[in-house]
Amino acid sequence: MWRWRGGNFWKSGWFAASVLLLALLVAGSVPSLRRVSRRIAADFMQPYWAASLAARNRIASEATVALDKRTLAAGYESARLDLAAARAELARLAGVDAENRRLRQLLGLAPPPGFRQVTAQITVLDPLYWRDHFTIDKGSADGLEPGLAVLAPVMNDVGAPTLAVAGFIDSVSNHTSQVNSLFNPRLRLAAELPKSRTVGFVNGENVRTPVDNLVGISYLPLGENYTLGEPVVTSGFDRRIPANLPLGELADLEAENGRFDAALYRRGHLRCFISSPDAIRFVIIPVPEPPTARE
Amino acid sequence: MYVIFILLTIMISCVAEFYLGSWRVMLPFVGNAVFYFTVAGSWKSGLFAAVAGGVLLDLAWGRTGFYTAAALVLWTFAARGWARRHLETPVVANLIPGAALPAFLALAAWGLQIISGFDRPIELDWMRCSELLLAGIFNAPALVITIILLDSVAGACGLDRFAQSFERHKREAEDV
Repeated sequence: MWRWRGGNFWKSGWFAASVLLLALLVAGSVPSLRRVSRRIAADFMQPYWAASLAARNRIASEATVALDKRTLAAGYESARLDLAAARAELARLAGVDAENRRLRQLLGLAPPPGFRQVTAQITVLDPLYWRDHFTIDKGSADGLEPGLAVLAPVMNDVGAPTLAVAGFIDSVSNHTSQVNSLFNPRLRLAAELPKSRTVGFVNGENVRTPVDNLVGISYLPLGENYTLGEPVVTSGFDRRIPANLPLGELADLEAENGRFDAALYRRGHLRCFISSPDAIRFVIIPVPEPPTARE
Repeated sequence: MYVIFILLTIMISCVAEFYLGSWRVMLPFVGNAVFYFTVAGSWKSGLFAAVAGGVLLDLAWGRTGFYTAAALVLWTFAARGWARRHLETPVVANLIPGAALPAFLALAAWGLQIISGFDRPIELDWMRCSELLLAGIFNAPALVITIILLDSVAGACGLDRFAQSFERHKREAEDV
């Protein structure tokens, strides 16, 4: 038995105080411990998770080989046309970009931020939090950092492929990044409604979503003319995220002038263009380039 | 030797559960392994497997809290309770805990999230119930197969086996 100041240590107040102090220390260090252990686990286990991805790619590749010649030829032609259209659009945008730079130079403004595109694949989807977050196979080694937007291809109204925001990077390890989707209530961001020229906050409040592919948008100014179905895009307040990236469209809005309504703002729901991460295979992350590298 | 057996089994179970989980198939292989080690070994080995496997899964999936680990620890108590009453029954009787395991883990994680308030509780909607039902149907034979497979490995390595656990637990009780 351990004696302490003439009594039993295990029954003394000192022991209780030590236990309390230890518990407080552990509780205080849990977030950093979890962050460090997650980074280690993400990088250590990455080859095993990548094996699953490799198998999936192999199956997809073999499935392509199994297609008949006509289907393959049609797919090839379609891809060639899409590529040609994308090249033409890129050439047009290069002209716009050059003009924009020239005008900004004449006005004495700083050049717009440049971005390089990093492509990645989704490696991990959590079966319990299926729509909240996912993991991609690129990390800080590829220049990714928390807060960057993650885009995924989606078909627009006329059936043409376009890009929309699937989520934002929450944490990175060397070779993986965890992405919070727009459905994750922990993700809060400013979003612009260009048609009504206003800004609201996605997930700004815990607004209950009536349907699965809706997320809350709140703090929309009063007295504006909103149109249901109008696009909602990134605001560009954060220079690491390009402005005007499509998030979704305005699905519904609370009435403005209820009889006893003293609200200072309006709130509604946003219908996300990316309704579920399991429909995505590839993602694109615009990574900001330092001005010196581009200018 | 037994610790290595546990760690290897947990590692393989984690990778298998993880792969299938990424395809949205919820088969709790780690929970099955924890059940096996709790019954075939001791509550301590079950607890060790639960903590190791749960923490690894939570870290790999990037969850905010270690709810899987906590739910698996609760599962060791349930497995111990099951073992006390049903050890004499044939192995096929373990279809019942196998079927109950996915729902148990989901409900335990949900309850812990509600109590702790640290994280948003998982959504228990109709789709989730359907997923859990499907997972229960598939996990029932999966647990029995896990027991048979791990028992054959344990037998080959000269370790404690599930099939002999009744006699062993009875002997231990008599010794005490």
